[in-house]
Amino acid sequence: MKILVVDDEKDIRTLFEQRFRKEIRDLSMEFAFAYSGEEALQYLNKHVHEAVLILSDINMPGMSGLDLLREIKTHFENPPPIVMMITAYGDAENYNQAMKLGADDFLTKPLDFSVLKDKLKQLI
Amino acid sequence: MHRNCFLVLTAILVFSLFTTPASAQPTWAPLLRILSDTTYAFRLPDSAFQIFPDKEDLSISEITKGGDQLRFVPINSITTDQLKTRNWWVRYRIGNDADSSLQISLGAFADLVTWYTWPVGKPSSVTIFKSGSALPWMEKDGFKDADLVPINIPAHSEMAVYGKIQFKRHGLPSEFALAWFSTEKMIAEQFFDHQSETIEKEAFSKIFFAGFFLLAALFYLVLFAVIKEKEYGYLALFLFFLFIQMNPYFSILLARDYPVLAQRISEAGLLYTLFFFQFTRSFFNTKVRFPRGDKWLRFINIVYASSVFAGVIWNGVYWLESTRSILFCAGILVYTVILFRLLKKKDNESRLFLKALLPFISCFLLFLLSGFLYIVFIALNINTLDPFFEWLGNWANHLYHFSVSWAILFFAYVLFRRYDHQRKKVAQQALEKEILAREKEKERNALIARQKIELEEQVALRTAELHASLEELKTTQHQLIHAEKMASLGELTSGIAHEIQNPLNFVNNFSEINAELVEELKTELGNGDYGAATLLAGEILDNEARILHHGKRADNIVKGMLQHSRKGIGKKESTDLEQLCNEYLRLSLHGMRARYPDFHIQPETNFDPLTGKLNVIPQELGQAIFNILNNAYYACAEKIRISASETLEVELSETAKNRNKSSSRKAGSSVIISELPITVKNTGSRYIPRIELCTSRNREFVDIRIRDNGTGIPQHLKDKIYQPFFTTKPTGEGTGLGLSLAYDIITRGHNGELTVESIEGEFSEFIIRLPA
Repeated sequence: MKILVVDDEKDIRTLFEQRFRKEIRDLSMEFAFAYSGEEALQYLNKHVHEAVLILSDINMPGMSGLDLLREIKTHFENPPPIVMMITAYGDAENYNQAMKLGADDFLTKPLDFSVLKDKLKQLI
Repeated sequence: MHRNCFLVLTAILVFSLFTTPASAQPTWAPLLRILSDTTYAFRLPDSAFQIFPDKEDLSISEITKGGDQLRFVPINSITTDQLKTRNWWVRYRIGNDADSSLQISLGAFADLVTWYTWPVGKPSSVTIFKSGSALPWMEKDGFKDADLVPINIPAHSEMAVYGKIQFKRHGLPSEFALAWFSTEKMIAEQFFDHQSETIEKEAFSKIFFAGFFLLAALFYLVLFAVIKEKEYGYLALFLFFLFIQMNPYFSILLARDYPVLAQRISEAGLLYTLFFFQFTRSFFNTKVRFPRGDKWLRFINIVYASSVFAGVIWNGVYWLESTRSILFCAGILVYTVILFRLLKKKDNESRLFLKALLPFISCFLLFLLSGFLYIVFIALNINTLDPFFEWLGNWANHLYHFSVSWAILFFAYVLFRRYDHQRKKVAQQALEKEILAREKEKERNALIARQKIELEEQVALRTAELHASLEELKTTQHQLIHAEKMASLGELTSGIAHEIQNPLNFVNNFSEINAELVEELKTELGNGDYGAATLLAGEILDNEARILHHGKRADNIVKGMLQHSRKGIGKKESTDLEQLCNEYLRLSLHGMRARYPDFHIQPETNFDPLTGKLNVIPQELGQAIFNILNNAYYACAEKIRISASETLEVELSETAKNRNKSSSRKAGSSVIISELPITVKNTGSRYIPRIELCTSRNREFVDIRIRDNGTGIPQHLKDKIYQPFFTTKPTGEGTGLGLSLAYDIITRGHNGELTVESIEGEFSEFIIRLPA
C-alpha cells in the first residue's frame, strides 16, 4: 500500500514516519511525500501503475490541494486513486468543494492519527 | 343792420307821379318827383319803376339799345315763371323839384348790384356804381357796410337809373329787394351820427361776449382734456361755434374782402345748435334714460348737421334755413318734453338745467309776448308802448348774450359741482379701498406672522428630528465602522485560527509521539539496550524541538491577532513602516486564504531603504493597508472569475497541456503565479495576478503604494469609492466601509492623502501619502 502525503509543511514527513513507524517497519504501508501540488503530480506521473492513496493538504502555496484533487480526478482515472483531504480550514465551503471534486474523505487538523489509521486500515 | 331801418318806417315822403311824355323813352315808367326829403328810406311805388328779367346776362349797352324783346315791365306783370330768373334789371327816373340838390342812396338786397345813372337825356355822362353783399369790399362803391350807393341830383333836374341786380343762388326773392333808396337824413343819422356810436357800443358788447365765449370754450376744452367727460367737449364746441356764428366785429374785416367766405363761416357757426343739443343729450344721458327721445334727437342732429354743411356749400338757400328752424323747434320740443318728465320726477339735474336756461327762457317768453303785443298794437294803431319796443329792439342782443353767458357760467358751476362730486366719490372710494387694502394687509401680516411662528415651530421640530436622525446616523456610522472593523477582524481571526491549526497539529501529534517514545525508551531501558535508548532519547529531543518551534509559531500568530484587535489606543507612536506593512500583508494573506481557498498569490514588496520609522497610529494605518490589500485580492480574484466564466472550456484543456509542460519548471520555485492559469480572451496572453506593495520616502512625505493588476476601477466610480457604504461587491459580501475607513484614517488620522490611479480592466494603484 503506497500512500502519497502532500503538504507544504516539511515536518509532516517526520510526523507521518514516526506515527506510522510500525506500519512502515512491517511494510504494510509505504509513504511518499510531496511538498506541493506540482510535486505530487510529478510523483503520480512517475508511479502511474502503483496503487496509491493520496492524503493532501488544501492550503498550499502554488497549486492548492483542491486543484490537485481536480487534476487527479480528471486525469488519473485508471484506477482512480483514493484522495483524502486534510486541512486546517475545516469550514463548510472547503468541505463542500472537496466533496464536489470527488474527494473520498475530509479530515481536519490537528490530525487524530488513531482515526486516520483506522480509516487507512479499512481501506487496506 | 339795414334791416333795422325798416322797423320804424313811416312814409312821410311826399311824392307825386307824373305821366312822362311819350317822347322821352317809349316805355319808361312815370318820373318820380321828389318834393322834399324828410324820411329815412323809401321804397319806390310799383308804378314808379320797371323791371326786366334778364336770362342772358346782358350788358348795359345791350339793354339801352332796346328792342322789342327787351321790354321793361311793371313789377306786377311779372309771371311766377319769370321769378326764377337770377339776373334782373330795374330802371326808373327821379326828378328833384326842390330848390336844393338832393342826395339819395340807391339800394337793393342782392349778391351783386351795378348801378348806371345819368342825367335824363345825357346817357353819355353815365356814372357806374357797384355794390352787393357778395362783392369784395375793395370793389364796392358808396356806403360799403350798407351796400348803398349815394347819388346827387341837382335842383330841378332829373336822373335816369338802371340797376343790374344779380342773385347767385336763387331767383327774385322779393320785389322789395329791387327798388328803394335811403334819404340823406337816414344816411346822416344811421352812418354818421347815430351809427358810429351804436356800432361802437355793439362792437364792444359783441367783442366782449365773443371773447367771453371763446375763453369759456377754451376753459371747457381744458376741462375736457383734464376730466375727459363728453359734456365739456360739447360745451367747448358749442361755445366755439357760437363765437364763430356771432360773427364778431373784427370778422367784418374778412367779410369786406371775402364776403362769400365770411358767409360760409357764419353758416358753419350754426353748428353751435348741434353741439348744444349734443351737450344736452350727454348731460341728461338721454341715450339711457329716454331712448325714444334720444332717437329723435339723434335724427334731428344728423339732419341739422347735414343742413348746416349744405348751407356752407350753397349759402343763402332759404329752404335750408327753414329746415334748420323746424329742426331747432323740434329739438326744443323734445327737450321740453324730457325736461318736463324729469321735473315731474323731481330730478335735480333738470332743475339745474332749467336754472341755467332760465334767463334764456324768460327772454324768449318776453320776446314772444312783446312780438304778439306789437302786432296787436300795430293792428290797433296804438303807439303807447313804442319806446318799450324800441328799447327791446336795442337790448335784444344784450339780453341774448347775457342769457348765454349766464347759461355758460351756470353750466360751468353745475359741471364743476358734478366733477367735484365725482371726484369726492372717487376719493371716497379710493379711501375705502385704501382702508380695505390696509385691513387686508394687516390680516395678511397677521397671517404671515402666524405662519412664520408655525413655520419656525415646524423648522425647530424638523431640526430636532434632523438632529436626532443625525445623531442616529452618527451612531449607526460608528456602529458600522466598528462592524467593519469587527468584520475584517473576524476575517482575520478565522484566518488566524486556521493558521494556528497547522502548528497545533504538530504540537499535539509530536507530544503524543513523544509520550509513545518515552514508553518505548522505558522498555528499552528495562531491556538494558542503552544503544536503542539513546537513539530514542535523541528522537524525543528532536520532537521536543519541533513542538517548541510550532508552539512559538502559534504564539506569533496569536500575538499578531491581538495586536490587530487592540482597540481604543489610537496613539501615534514611532513605527517601522516596513515591519507594519509586512505584518498586515501577512495578516491579509491569512484572511485571503480563508476567503479564496483556490486562489493563491504572494504579494511582491519593494521597500525603500530610507522608509524607516514614522509617527503613526500603527493599528489604524495597518487597518487601512489591510483594507486596501483586501480590495486588491478581490480585484484579482474577480478578474480571474470573470475570465474563467468567459473561457472555461478552452481553459480546462489548456490547463492540462500546460500542466505537464510547466509543472517541472515551477514546482517549488519561488516565482509567484496563480496555479490556475487563465487565458485572457482578448489578448490571448496568460493572466497572472500580481499585487505589489512598495514604499518610497523623501523629505516631505512617505508614500505607500499598493498596486494590483485586477479589474481596475471604472472612471465613473472613482469619485465614489471613498463614500461610506459604497461597494461593488455582491450584497452581503462588502460593507462598503473599507476604503471609507482607510480614507478617514489616512486623511484625518494622519493628515495624509489617499489617491488612486486606475485603468479599468488593467490595474489599480492606491497611494497612501503621509507627511514625513
